[in-house]
Amino acid sequence: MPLPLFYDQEKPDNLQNLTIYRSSAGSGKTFTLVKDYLKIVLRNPDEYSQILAITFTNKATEEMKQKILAELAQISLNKPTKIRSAIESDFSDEGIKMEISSRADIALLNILHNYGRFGVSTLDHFFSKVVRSFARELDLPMKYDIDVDEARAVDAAVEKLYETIPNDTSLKSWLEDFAFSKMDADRGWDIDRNLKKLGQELFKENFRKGIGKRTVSLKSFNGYVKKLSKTRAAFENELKASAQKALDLIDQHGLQTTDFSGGSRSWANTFNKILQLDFDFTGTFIKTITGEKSPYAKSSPDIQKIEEVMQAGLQDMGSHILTYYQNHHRSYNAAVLLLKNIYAYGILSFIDDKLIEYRADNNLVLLSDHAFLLNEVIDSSDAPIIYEKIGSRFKHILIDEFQDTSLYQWQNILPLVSNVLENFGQVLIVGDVKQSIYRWRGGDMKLLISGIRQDLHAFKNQTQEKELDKNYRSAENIVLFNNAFFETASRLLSQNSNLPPNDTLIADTYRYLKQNPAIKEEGYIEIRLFSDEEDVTWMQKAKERTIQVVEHNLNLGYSPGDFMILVDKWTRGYDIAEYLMQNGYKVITDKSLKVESSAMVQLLINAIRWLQNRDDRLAQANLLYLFHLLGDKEIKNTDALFSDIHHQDELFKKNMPDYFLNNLKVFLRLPLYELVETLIQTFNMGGHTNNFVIRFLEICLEQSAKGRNDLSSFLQWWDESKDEQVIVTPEIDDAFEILTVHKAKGLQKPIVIMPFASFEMGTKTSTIFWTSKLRKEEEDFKILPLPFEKKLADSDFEEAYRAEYLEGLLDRLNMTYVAFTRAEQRLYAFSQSAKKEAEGNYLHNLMYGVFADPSFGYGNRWDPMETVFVWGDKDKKPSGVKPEGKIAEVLDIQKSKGATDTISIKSESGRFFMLFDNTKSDKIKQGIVLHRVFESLETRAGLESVVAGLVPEGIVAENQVKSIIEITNRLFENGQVRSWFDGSWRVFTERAIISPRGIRRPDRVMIKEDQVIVVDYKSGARDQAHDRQLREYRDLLMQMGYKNIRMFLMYFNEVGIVEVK
Amino acid sequence: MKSFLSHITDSIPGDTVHELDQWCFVFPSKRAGLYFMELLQNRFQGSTFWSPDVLSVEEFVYKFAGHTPGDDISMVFRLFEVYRSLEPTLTFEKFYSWGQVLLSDFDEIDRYLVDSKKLYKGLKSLEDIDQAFGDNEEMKKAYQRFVQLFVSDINTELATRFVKNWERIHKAYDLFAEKMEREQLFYSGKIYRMLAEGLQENRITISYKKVVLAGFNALSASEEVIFKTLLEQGIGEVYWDCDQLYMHDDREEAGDFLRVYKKKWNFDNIHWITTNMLDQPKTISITGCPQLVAQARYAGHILENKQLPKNRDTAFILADENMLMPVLHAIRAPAINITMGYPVRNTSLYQFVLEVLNLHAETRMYKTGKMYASSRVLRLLESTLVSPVFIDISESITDFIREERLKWVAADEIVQKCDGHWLKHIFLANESVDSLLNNVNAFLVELFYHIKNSGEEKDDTSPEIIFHGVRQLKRFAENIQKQSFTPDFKFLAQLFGESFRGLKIPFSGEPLDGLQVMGFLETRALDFKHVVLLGVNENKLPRSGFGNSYIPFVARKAFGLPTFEEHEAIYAYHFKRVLQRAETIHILYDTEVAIDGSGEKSRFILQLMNKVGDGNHNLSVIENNVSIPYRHMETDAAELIVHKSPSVMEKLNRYVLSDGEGKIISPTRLITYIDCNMRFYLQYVARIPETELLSDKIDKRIFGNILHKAVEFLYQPYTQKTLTTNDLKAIASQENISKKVKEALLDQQVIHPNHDLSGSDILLESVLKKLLKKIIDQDLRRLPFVIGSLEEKLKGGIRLPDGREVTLGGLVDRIDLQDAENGKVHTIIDYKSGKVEFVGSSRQTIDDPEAYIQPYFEDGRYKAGFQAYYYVLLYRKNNPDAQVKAAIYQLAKLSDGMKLLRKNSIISDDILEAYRKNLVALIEDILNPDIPFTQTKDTQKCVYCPYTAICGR
Ligand code: SF4
Repeated sequence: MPLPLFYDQEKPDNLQNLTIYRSSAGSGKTFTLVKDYLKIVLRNPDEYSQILAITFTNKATEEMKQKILAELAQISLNKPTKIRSAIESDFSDEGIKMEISSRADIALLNILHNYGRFGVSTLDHFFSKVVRSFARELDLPMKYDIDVDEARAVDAAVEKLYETIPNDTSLKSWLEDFAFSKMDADRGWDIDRNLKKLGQELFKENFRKGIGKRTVSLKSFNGYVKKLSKTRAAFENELKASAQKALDLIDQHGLQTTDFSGGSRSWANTFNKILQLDFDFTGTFIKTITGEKSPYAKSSPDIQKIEEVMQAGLQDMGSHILTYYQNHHRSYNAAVLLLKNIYAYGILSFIDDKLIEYRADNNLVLLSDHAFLLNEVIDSSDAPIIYEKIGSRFKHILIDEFQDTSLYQWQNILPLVSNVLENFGQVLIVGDVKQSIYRWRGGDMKLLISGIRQDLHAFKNQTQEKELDKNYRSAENIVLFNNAFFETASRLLSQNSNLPPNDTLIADTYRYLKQNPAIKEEGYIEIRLFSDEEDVTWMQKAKERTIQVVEHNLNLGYSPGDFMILVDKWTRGYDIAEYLMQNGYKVITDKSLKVESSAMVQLLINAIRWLQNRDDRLAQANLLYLFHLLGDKEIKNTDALFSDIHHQDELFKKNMPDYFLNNLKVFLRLPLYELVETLIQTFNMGGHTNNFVIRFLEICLEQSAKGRNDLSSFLQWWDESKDEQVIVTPEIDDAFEILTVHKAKGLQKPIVIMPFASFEMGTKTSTIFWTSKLRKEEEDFKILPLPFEKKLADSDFEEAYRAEYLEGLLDRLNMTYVAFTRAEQRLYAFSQSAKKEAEGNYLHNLMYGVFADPSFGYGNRWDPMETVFVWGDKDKKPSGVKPEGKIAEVLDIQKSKGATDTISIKSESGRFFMLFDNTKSDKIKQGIVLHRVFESLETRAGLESVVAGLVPEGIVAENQVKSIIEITNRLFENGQVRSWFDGSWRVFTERAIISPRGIRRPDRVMIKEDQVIVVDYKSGARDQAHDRQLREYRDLLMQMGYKNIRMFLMYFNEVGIVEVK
Repeated sequence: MKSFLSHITDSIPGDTVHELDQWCFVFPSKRAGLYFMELLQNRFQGSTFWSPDVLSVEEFVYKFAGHTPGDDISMVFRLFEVYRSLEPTLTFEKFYSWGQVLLSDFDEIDRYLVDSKKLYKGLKSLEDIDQAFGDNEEMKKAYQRFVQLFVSDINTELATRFVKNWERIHKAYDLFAEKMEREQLFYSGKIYRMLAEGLQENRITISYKKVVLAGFNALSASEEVIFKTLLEQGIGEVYWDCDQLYMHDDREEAGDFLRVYKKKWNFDNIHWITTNMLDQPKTISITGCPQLVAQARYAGHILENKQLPKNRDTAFILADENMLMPVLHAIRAPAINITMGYPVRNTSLYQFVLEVLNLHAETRMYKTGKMYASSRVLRLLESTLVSPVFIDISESITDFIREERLKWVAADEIVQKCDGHWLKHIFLANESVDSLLNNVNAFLVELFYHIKNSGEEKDDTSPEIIFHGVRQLKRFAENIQKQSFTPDFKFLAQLFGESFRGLKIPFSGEPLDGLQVMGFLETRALDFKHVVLLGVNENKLPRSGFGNSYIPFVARKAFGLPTFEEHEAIYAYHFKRVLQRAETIHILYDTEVAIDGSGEKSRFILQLMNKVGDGNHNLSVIENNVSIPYRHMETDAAELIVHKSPSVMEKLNRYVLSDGEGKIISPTRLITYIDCNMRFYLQYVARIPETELLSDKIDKRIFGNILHKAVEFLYQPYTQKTLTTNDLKAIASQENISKKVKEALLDQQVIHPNHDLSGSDILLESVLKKLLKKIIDQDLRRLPFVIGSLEEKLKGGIRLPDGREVTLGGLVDRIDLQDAENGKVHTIIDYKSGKVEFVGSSRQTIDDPEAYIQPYFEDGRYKAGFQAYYYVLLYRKNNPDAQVKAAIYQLAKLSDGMKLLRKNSIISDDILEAYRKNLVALIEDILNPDIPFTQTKDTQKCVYCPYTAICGR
C-alpha cells in the first residue's frame, strides 16, 4: 500500500471528492470547470501546482489558462464577476468564510511566477510528457520528435512494405489476396491507394486493442483463414449438391423447373438459383416445401408428374435444403463476411511492423502513439513512479469533454485518478454523452455512462453526480425546441428493431436532456423539407433558400460573421460555398484558407519549380503569366499575352526582370527562405505581401529549420503536404464561415444554417468496423474486421451488428444534437422530404417522425402540407451591441529592402587550403599552424597543451600533433628562442595595450627586471611594414614607462628571427 | 542611464591603472568584454597601459584547472566503451542519444559537486534528508518514496525497468570517472570541480592581484566555491547587476539566485549595482503577431516608424534563433552587428552532404558491384549545388535512369558517366567510412574552387559555407577515425547531421557601432537604450526542453542540481535585466500556439502586465495585436478569356484539311474541349505541356498502356478466326498470360532484360494477370465470335457545312465480329482502366436520339461513350453497311463486365446522325473565331487540371 501522498489524516467524513458533471450544450461547462479550479486555489493558493486540468483541444487549453488568469486578476482587484459571485455563494453554502481577493492575488502571483507548474493540458500532451520521461524504460530514443502526420507515416510504411515483397512470398500472396478481394468488390485495381487507406486503421484504438499486442501467430492465422474458407465451401457444396440432385430428379421425371407453379419464376427455380449461390429462399418455396402451398398451378397439365416427383423425394430434398440452411447459414454468413476483410487484418500487422521501423528511422513518435505506448506498460499502482518521473504530484484532477475520452486514455489516467481519490483530493469529470461525436477517433462515451463508475467503484461513497441543466447559450425557444425534439427523436430511434434487444444506451444518453433556458429572449427556428422535382433537386432548393435566409438576415442587421453554416461533410460544404460565391458572397472554407490558393504563392512556387528544373514549361508559363498578372503592368492584357503564349521562351525573356534571368546560379545557391525573400524583392512584389505570402514564408522558414533547404526536397515536401498548409485563420467579418459539425464542436454563433440536414442515420453500409464480440473459435484474435452489412444480422455476428448499428445511430443523433445546439438566436435546417413513411434511416425521416409524433410538444408549429416547422419571429432584429475586438493594427508590409545585402558572413575561406592535403601548400600551412601555437604559448612547458588545444578548433589534425610539437621543439634549438620560453620572463601573449590611439595587441611581450622584449610572429616575406608595427609597439611600451626595449620579428620560414632596431 | 559596465570601470581606482595587467575581469560572455575594453579606454583617457585579462568564466576555469574539455562526440564514444561492459547487447547506434543524456547528467553531478554515491544509492539517514530539504515535508516524503523505489520491492513493470537502469548508471559513472582519470580527458563539469576542489584544498593558487567577477546570476556549486574562495582570499571582487523589482519580492523568480547570495555571502568586496525599473520612465509596447515572419516584419516596421536610432543604442533581441533571417530581411541600417551566427543548417550544402551520406547508406550489392537507389542519385543530381555545374552530365545520368526506369543503378555506371569530372567523387563506391568522408571532402574542395574561380556573379557566401563545412567534416572524420569501431554509413549520416546542425558561421560586423542583433544569452551584462524583443513566448522565453535527464526531480532537488525551476528563473533574470536600463521597449510575441498546445505568450509578459495593473510605476504600456491583410491587392481570380486572334486561329486551322492532311482531332481533345475549352486552348493550342510527374512506379497511365498491349498480344494469334472454348482456354493458361504480360512490360519499357519489376509493381503485375483472366472469362461467355482486329487505326474526314473538312482518327482497342441472326455484327470494344460513367437512359431519352446524345456533348464525364460513338461513326464511314455495336470494358469494375451501349442493340442510324450533327457543331464552335476560350463553370473539372495556377482555380 503506497503511502498517501498528501494528507496523513483520516478520511474526512462524508467526503465527496469525485464529482461527475453532466453538462448539456451551452450549460457553461467551462464556467463550471474554471469555477471549481478557482475554488481549489482560493482555499489553498499553494495547490495550483498540484492540479491537473485536462482539456480536449489545444485551443481549449489556451482558453482555459487565460480564463483562469483573467478571473484571478479580476478577483484580486476586487472586481465583481459572475464566477466570483458563484464561488462566493458556493462557499457560503459550504459554510466557508474567507477573504478571497487577497488569496486570489497570492494564487495569481504563484501561478505567474511558477508558470511551469500551471497544469492545463490535453490528455495527449500530458501523456507525451509522461512517455518522454519514460523514454528509456520504453526503449524509445532519448530525443525524438513528435509528429502528428499519420498519413505520411502510413505512406512511408507501405512503401517500405513493398520493398520486402520480392523476398517474402507469404507477404506477396497476402497482398495479392487483398488486391483481388478489392477487385472482386469493385474497388478498383489501385492497390496502393487501397493499402494506404487500410493503413489508417492502425491508429484506431479498437484495432490496437486486438492486433497491437500480437496475440495470434501468423501461422495460426493462416489456419484460421483456411477454416473459414472450408466452412464457406462446405455449406455451398452441400446446398449445391442437394439442388443439383433435385434438378436431376425433376429432369428424370421429364419436367422442367418452369413447369411448376409460377412458371419461369416458379418455386422450383430456387434450385437453379442455389447453383448460382443465391440463397434467398422465396416465401413460396418455403411454403411449398412445408406443404402449405400446392406445388403446381391448378391449370397445370403436369399435375400428375409433379405429384410423382414430389413423392419421389423432391419434397424431402427441399426440406433437407431448408433445414440445412436453417442450421448452418448463420455460421456460413459469418464466414463469408469475415473473409471479405480478413486480409486486412493480416496485412495490417505487416504494415505495423514497418511503421515501427519508420518511426525508429526518423526518430519520431506519433502523437497518437503515446497513449498506446503507455498503455502497454502502465500499472494501476504506477502513480508514484509517474509523479517522481515527471516531477509533479497531483492532488486534484479536472477532466473536460470526458465523453470523447478513449478507453486507453482513461486507462492511462486511471492510476492517477485513483491515487488522487485515495488521498482525498478532488476529481472532477465533466462531459456530455450527447455530444460524443469522436467515436471514429477512439472516443468512448460508454465510459461516461457507466465505465467510470465501474472502474472507480471503490470510491462509490465518495462520488456525487451533478447536473448543469441551464442553457446560457441559446434563445428560449431554441432550448425548448431542442428539449422536445431530441426527447422524441431519441425515443423513436430506440424503437428500431435492429438495435440490441433491451438496450438502453440511447435512452441513457438522452436521459438528462432537458435544459432550462437562462436567456429569456425568443429566437427563431425554421426547418424546411424540400422535395425533389423533375427539374430541381431538393438540394438546389435548399441552396436557394439558404441565399434567401442569408439576405434576409443581413437586411435585419446581422453581419456575415454572425453566421455559421454547418455541413456533415466537406463535399457538401464546397457545394454550398460555391453557390454562395456565385451569388457574390465571400466564404471561408477549409479550401479558401489553403496557402496555395493565393496567386502570389503560386508565383513563388512556380518560380522555385522553374529554377529547379528549367525544362518545366508549365512552371515557366505559370511564372510568366502570374508575373504579368500581379506585376505593375499598366494594362493587364492577358489576352494578348496568351495569344502569343506559344512563343513562351521569347515572352519569358522579354517580360521577366533581367536581374532574375542573369543571376540564376546565385539564386539557385540561396537557402530556401532567402531565395523566397529575394524573389519577392526581385519581382518587386513586396506590395502583394499578404496573409498567404507571410504564411508561405513561414513555411519555408519551418522547412529550412528542418533541414529541407534543397529545392527539390522542398518541392517534394510541398507537393505532398500543400493540402494541409493553411493560413493562420484570419478574423474576417465579411465572410461566411462554412464548417463541418465536427469542427464546430465547442463553437457558437448567432445564426446557424444547416443547408443539407439530411444524412444516413447510422453506419454506412459496408464500412469496415472492428468488433470484439467474437465466437469461441476466434477469441484469441480479440478483435476482427467486419463489413457493416445487413446480412450480418443473420449471422453469428448478429450481436456485433446490433452493437455497431446502435453506435452508428448514436453517432449521427449526437451529431445532429451538436449541430442544433450551436445556435444562439436562429436555427435553420433544410432537408429533403420523405413523403412515404417516417421509418427511413435518414435524418429527414427522423424529423418527419418527430414532427408528426403526438408526444412532440410543438407539433402545432409543423405544417405537414408545406413541410415546414417554424417557431418565432423571423423579422426580429438582432439585439445588443457586438463586443469590440482587440485593437488590431494592420501590418504595414510595403517594406523596403532588408539589410541582407549590406551584411556578409565573416570571410575565413582564405585559409581554405589549410584543410586538405596538398604538398605545395604544406609550407604555408605549417607557418600558419606555428603562428597559432606561438600566439598562445607562454612557456615551453605549456607546449603540449597548447597544441592539443588547437585540435578541437580544426587547426591541427589529431595525427599532426606529434609532428607539430617536434617542429616547434626544433625551433627551440635556437638559444635565444629557448631563453624566451624558459619561464624566467613575465610574458604577455596577445595582451592588449590600451592607449589613446586605440587598442593594440603585440604577439608577445616579455619582461624581466628592466629588460623588455617584444616579439611579433610573421609568415610570408620580410616586409618593412612589420618593422613599423614593432616600432609602434615599442613607442607604446615607452609611454607606459618601459625602457630598454628590444624588438624581434620571428618568421616561420627561411627568414627566421630578425631583430629590429 | 549609466550602464552596468560603466559602474565597474568607474569604480576602478585611478591609481591602479598601471597594475591592471595583474587584474583579471571575468564576464559571463565574451561580448561584454569587448564593450568593457572600450569603456576602460574612456575611463583612463590619455594613458597608455596594459589591459587586464578579460576572460569568460570557462576560460578562467580551464586556465587555472589546466585542462580543456574533450568534445561531445568523442566523449560519447568514450562513455560507450565503458557502458558496453554493462549492457553488452547495446549497439552504439542505440546508445548514442542515451549516452548524451548520461554525459550531461554526469557533467552536472561534478559541476554541482554532488556525491555520486549518495545520489545513486539514495540518502537513507533522516538527517541527510532533513539537511537536503529543510522543513519541506512534502519534498521529504516524495524523496523517501523515490528511494523506496530501489530499496523495496515495488515491482511494477515501469519501476523495475527504472531501477535496473539506475543501478547500471551508477556503475557507469564510476567506471567513466576512472577512465577519464586514466586518459586525462574530462568533460567540462569535471574540470570545474577540479578547480573548485583545488582552490578549497589550496592546491591551486590564482596568480592575479585581483579577479573581478561581474554580471553573473546563477552559479553552479563549483562556481560558488570558486567565487567564494576568491572572495575569502581577498582577491575576488564581485559585481551583481540587479533590480529592486526582484530583489525585494521573494516571488520574483528572476531574483531567486541573487537573493540567496545576498543573504549568505557577507564580504566587503561585493557590490550591488541596483536599479529600480518601475521607477524609471519607460515606454513599453507589447504586440502579438501571428508567427515568426510577421514578427520580423513588424520589428522592421517599428525600426522605421518609431524612429529608433540605427546604431548601437538599439538592440533587436531574438528569443528564437530561427527568426534571424526574417529579421535581417526586414530591417535596414547603415551598419549592423549580428552576434548570432549564420546557421549552416539552413544552407543547401548541409542537405547536400547529408544526401550524399545517405546515398551510401542505402546501397545494395549485386554481382556486378554496388548499386545506389536511383531516387537518391536523382536527388543529388537535382541539387542546386550540382545541377548548374554539371548540366550535361547530370542530364545524361538522369535520362539514363529515367529511360531505363531503374530503381537501382550501379555505382560503376554512374562514375563512368561522370566522365572523369570531379562530380564522380560523390559517386565512387566506398568500403570504409574513411574513404567515404575523403571522397565527400574531395568533392567539396573542387566545388569550392569552382565557385571561387568561375568568375560568375559575386557570391561571397557559398565559399565561406563550404569552408566551414569542410572544416567540420575534417574534424568529424578525425574523430570517427579515432574510435575503436566504426558506425555504419547510415548512422554516420545521422551523427554528421547532428554535429553539423548546430554549426553557425559568424557574420562580419561592426561590434561597437552597428545596430545590434543578438540572442538573449548575449545580452548578459550589456545595456541598450532601445530594445525590440522578438519571440517572447513560452517555449522560447523561458526556453522549454529542460529535463533531458535521467535524474528525477526530487533527487535533483535533494542534491542541489538545477531543475526546470532554476532553468526558468535564469530566463526570468535575462528578461528583466534587459528591461532594467532600457527606455523604449518593444515586446513582440507569436499569437499562434504550437501543435502541442504550448507556446502562448510568455509568462514574463503576464508578470509585467500584472505589475502594471497596480499602477505603482512610471511605465507607459500599450498592448495590441497585429493582423495581416487577408488577400491584400491580390486579383480575386479574375476571369480569364482568350480571344481567337489570328495567331490563335492559325494554330486552330491545323485541324482543317487543306491540300494536304489536317491534324487529327482526337476524341480526347474533343472531350477536353467539352469539359473546359480553356484547358483545350492551353493544352492543345498554346501547347503548354503538362509537367510529367515522373514516378518510378507504374502509374495509372502506364498501367492502362500495359494492359492494352497485353490484350493485343494475347489475342493477336487468334484474329480473323472463330474463337472456340479451347482457344480461349489456351489463351488463358497461366503460362501464356505470364508470357504475354512480360512481353507487354518489355514493350512498354517497364522492364528490361536486366531489370525486373520491384516493389508494388510486382503486385500490379499479379493484378494485371487477374484482370486479363477476367477479360478472357467474360469472352468465354460471349462465344462464338471472331476478333476482327486489334488496335486498329481508323481515320476519316468529316465535312463541315461550309465545306471544310476536318480529320478524325483514333485507335480502336478491338473489333469483334459476331454472327447475329440478321447478318454480321461488328462490336467496337474499348478497355477503360479508369472510372466510367454512362448517360442514364430513361424512357424518354431512349427514344429520342437527340436528347439521348446531348449529354455526351455537355459533360466530359461520359467520355467513354463519347469515344465509342466517335469510333462507330468513323468505322461506319469506312464500312457503310456494317451493323455496329459499341462496348466498354470497365476494368476497375470487372464484375459488371462488358457494358454495351444502347442496351446491346445495334447503333441505329438516327443515333449516329444525331451524334454526327452534334460533333459538327462542336467542331464548328472550336473553329469559330468569334467564340473565345473561357474557363469552365464547373470547378470540379479543375481538380485534376494542370493549369490551375493560371486559372486561379
Ligand atoms: S483550371 Fe479549370 S478552368 Fe482552368 S483550364 Fe483547368 S479546367 Fe479549365
